[in-house]
Amino acid sequence: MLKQLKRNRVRIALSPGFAATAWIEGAFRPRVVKKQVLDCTLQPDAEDTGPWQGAAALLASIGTELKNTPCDVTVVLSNHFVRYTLVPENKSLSGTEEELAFARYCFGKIHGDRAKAWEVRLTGTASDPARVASAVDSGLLQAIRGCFPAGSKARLVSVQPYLMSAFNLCNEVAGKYATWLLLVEPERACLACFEGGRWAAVRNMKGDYQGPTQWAALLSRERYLAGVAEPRTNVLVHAGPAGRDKSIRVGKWKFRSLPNPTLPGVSPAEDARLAMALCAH
Amino acid sequence: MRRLELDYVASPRRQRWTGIAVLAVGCLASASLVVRDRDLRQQLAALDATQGMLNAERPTKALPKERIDEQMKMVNAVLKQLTLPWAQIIAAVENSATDDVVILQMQPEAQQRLLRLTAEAKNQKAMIEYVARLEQEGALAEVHLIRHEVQSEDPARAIQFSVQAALKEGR
Repeated sequence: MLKQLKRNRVRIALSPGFAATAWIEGAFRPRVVKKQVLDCTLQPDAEDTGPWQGAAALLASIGTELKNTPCDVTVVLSNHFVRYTLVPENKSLSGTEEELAFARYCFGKIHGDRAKAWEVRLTGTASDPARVASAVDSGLLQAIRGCFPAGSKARLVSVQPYLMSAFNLCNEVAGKYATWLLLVEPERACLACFEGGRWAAVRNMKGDYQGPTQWAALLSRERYLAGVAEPRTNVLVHAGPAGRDKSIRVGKWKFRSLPNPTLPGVSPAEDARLAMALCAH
Repeated sequence: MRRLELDYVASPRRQRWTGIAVLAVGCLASASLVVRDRDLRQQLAALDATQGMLNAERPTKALPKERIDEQMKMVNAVLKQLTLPWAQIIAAVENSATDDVVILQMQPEAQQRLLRLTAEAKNQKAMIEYVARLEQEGALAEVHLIRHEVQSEDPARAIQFSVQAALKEGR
C-alpha cells in the first residue's frame, strides 16, 4: 500500500494534435513537478477513424522517456479517439459478454462494419435504463499498451476516455448542480445529459464549438433530440482556454466552468492544455 | 450518479458499498473480539477467586511429628557441624606438632564435642610428649591416649596411636 502511495503519477492527455503530460508527486499533498506538451502534425482523417498515429508516436517517445522512471501512467483519450452511445436496457441479456456484444451491436448500427475493429466498454449495471458505452480503435489501444511494455518501470494503470475523467470529476465537484456536461476540444464537443439519476443523452460531435454562443446553439438543438424538459438549463463546461470563465449566461443557458482539482505547480491560465490530463484520477 | 467506468486497462472500481460492508464486517469482528476478550478476563478472574476460596477452606496437611523431629535433628546436626570451633581445633593441632609425630587422621565429633586424632610417632617418648603438648592447648580438655600400637612390620619400630580430647565450649 505504502509503496503504491509513494509511486509518482504521470497523467497524459492524448489528442490528435498534441500530448500533454503532467508529472505528479506526493500522496497526501500532490503537486505537479513537471509539465510537458508535445505537438504533432494533424493527419487527414477521411473516415473519421481517429487520427491517432501522430499522437501514438508522441506517446511512444514519452514511454521511452519514462522507461526507467517508476510511476503509474494514466492516459486520457481525447474524444476525437472515442465514440459513445447509450445502450438501452435489455432484460434478455445474461452476463457481461452478452452485454458487451449488445453494446457492440449498438455501435454497429450507427457506424457499420468499422465498429468490429473497436474495443468496447460498458458502464453501469443491467438494471440501468440506459448505459453509456464507449468504443476505441483497437490499433490505438495496442499502440498505447506497447509504449509501456512489461519491462518498463512506468506502469500503465489506466486508459480512460475524456468523458469518463470529466464526468467522474463533475460528480465529485458539482454534485447535483449539473444536468448537462459539455466537453470542448479543438474541432470537437462532447455533450452528456443526465437527469433523475439516469443518462438521457451522449453526443460526440465534430465542429467548431469554441465559444458560449456555439455552445448555446448546440444545446438548443440537442435538447430536443434528447427530449430533456425545458427547465434543465445548467451546463457544466470543461474546456481549454475557452472555458476559463467561471460563469456565463447565454439566453436561457447557464454555463459554469468545471474546475480541475487545484494542484500546486499548475496555472489554469497557462496550462490550459493540461486540463484534460489533470481531470483524471 | 454512479461513476463512469469505461477504463481500457483498469478493472472497474468496486462499488463503495462493498468497501463499507467490508469495513462494517471488520468493525463487528473487532467488537466481538473485544467483548469476547472482556468475557474471558471476567471468567478468568472468577476462576481465580473460586480457586482462592477453595484453597482457603482446605486444611493444611500436618507433617507427622516423627518427620519433624527427624528434620529437626538433621538441622541441629548441621548447625553443630557448622558451629564447631574449627579455627581453635586446627590451631591446637598445629601448636602441638613436633618433628617426631605425623598426624594420620583428624576426626571431630560434633554431636559429642570430641576430637579424635590418629597419629604415628617415632618412639614412645615422642608419643607421650605429643599428648602432653595437646593437654596444654586451651581449646582441648580431657586429653586421653586411647590406643597405641608398635608397627612390627616397620624396621624403625614406629608407634601408631589414637588420642581423644574434649572440645571446650565457648571458645
